[in-house]
Amino acid sequence: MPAGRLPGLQTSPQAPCTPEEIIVPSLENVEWLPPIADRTRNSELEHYAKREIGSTPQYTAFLAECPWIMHADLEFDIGGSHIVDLQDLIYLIVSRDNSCRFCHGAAHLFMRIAGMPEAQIDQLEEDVETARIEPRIGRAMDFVRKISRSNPPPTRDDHVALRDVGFDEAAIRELALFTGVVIFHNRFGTLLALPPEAAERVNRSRFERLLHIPLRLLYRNTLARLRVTPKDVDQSLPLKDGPFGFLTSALSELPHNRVLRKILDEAWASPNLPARTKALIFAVIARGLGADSCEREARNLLAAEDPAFSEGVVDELIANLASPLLSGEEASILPYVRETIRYRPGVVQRRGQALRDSLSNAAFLETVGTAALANMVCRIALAIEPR
Amino acid sequence: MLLLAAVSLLMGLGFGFAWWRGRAQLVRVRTALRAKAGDLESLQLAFSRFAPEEIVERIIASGVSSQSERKQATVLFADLVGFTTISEHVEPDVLVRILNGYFERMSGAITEHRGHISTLIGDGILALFGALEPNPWQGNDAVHAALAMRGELAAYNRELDAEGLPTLSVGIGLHSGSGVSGLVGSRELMQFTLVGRVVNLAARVQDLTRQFEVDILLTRAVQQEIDKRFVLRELPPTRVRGIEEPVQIFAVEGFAENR
Repeated sequence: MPAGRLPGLQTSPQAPCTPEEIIVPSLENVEWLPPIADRTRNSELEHYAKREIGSTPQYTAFLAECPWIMHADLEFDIGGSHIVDLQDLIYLIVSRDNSCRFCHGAAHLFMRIAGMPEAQIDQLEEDVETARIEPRIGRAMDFVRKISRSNPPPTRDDHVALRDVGFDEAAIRELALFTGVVIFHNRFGTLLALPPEAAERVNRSRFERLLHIPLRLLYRNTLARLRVTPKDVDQSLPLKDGPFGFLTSALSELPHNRVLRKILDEAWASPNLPARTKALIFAVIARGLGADSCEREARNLLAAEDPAFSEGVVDELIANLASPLLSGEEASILPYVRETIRYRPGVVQRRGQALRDSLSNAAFLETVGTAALANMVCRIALAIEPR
Repeated sequence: MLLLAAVSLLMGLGFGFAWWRGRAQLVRVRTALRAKAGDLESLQLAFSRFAPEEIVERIIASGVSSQSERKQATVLFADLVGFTTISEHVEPDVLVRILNGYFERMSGAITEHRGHISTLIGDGILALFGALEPNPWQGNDAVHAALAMRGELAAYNRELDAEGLPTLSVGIGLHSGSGVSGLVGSRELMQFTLVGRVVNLAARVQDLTRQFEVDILLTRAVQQEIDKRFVLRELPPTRVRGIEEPVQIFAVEGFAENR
């Protein structure tokens, strides 16, 4: 979740901010189903969350059977070195773009707890919508929205436009990585239909807004901890080894590259789904996004897991999302993960409910987590290797 | 002194009342504006089902533009067979009810398979797959949609028959290829659509359904892209108006899940 780093960010001088002018509706009219995953307890995961951020978020119970998603959720949220002033806005805008009520509500809440008035947050959203924002921020927001939508993905011209307003290559890569992080959060928040009501209610209710003062004191340490590099990420992790090593080594100059490496390794090692199913999920999502380098990597991983998946078999499998070689679980998972690329929340959540009925809770969680990770990885790859 | 206090009190009350009324009015205006903004957002969301988000945003930011792009899409053209005859024998309000029921079911089948309806032309439907957003599975989606339309129409015909109303039959043509997508129309009426040979050929192939007495026909371009589990029957290459070479066409018989 976002860590509240916006106090330095200013709206454009042409867009004076007065509370009476601010008319940005929330996402509360977006259809949102009840949570799809089961609530279970995992005290180890609860202690981990407490150790990492000083508290245990309520949604920990939904992720209890798939701890790596929680690790990814908390460990990806670390301060960047190049775009530190933009992270909260990226979180807000991409979450809005993906209609993720859970993340959008949380973004508002965290920004308010961090000290930004609601009126200013609304004004920022409105300024981005109406392009009344300073060029550096405007171009960055265009770039991150292109990554998020991938219709079409960013091009070399977008990189040039960013360089023209002062972003160097490292900053562009960091924009891509952080947008990928938000896409990951949005995907698992939406696909699991995590309950957004608590954050939305606190944002809306005048009485509950009073809680922000004690919340700010209570979460002061949490916010501070989110800004530092987690200590338990092994800095000696080899970036080139493991699934999608080509991407983690391409991001080698960024401070968060080893977090991505660790999460990819953890996701691959998690026992809830076979590794070949994860490779298949990545291959389908890469095809849907046109991320050729990621599809190649997924095919290599698949062939390494099971030699029966020859080039011809995989061609046909990805083209039709079906093959006699697929297990029953895989046959129902692949048509679903294709839906996670671009979606309307209510529609994809209904499809998720149908899939949940045919899988165990742990397998469903891992499907959602892997699909979220694949959407993140493929979009980052498209953004840093533009056509 | 007492008078001064009374006047002050009255003035205070007057100011207080004016402030309270002003504030109440402000709250009402803000609530109304917020509701309207919510409506606008819903409208924008609804528009994104008919045109890509970027086009909707461009319209909001700078008005209607003629910007267009070339896209690979699959076109589904559907037309009711013999509907003109039916329309001459049924009361107008019943006719409209029959037609609306038909469109309701067909649009459900199309959107369920990720297509979007570009235009309704009389009783005809032009639906596009892969035009709003890239879709590598567009061919399979379009043929599944056509089969779903067949199933929906059969169910609808049972309802019409039970009411003693005439039943419907449809001809569906499918073709895929490259076309130009964008906002097309006049100042009074605009729509996001695809134009080009791909659309014309889908319409011509739909015409051929009458000649071959089948309900779903697709071209070689679609056949090469789709799942081998679709059961197809190859028909003789046929000449169509406006196309030099005879067109290779296939009738769609069904989908064999376990093939």
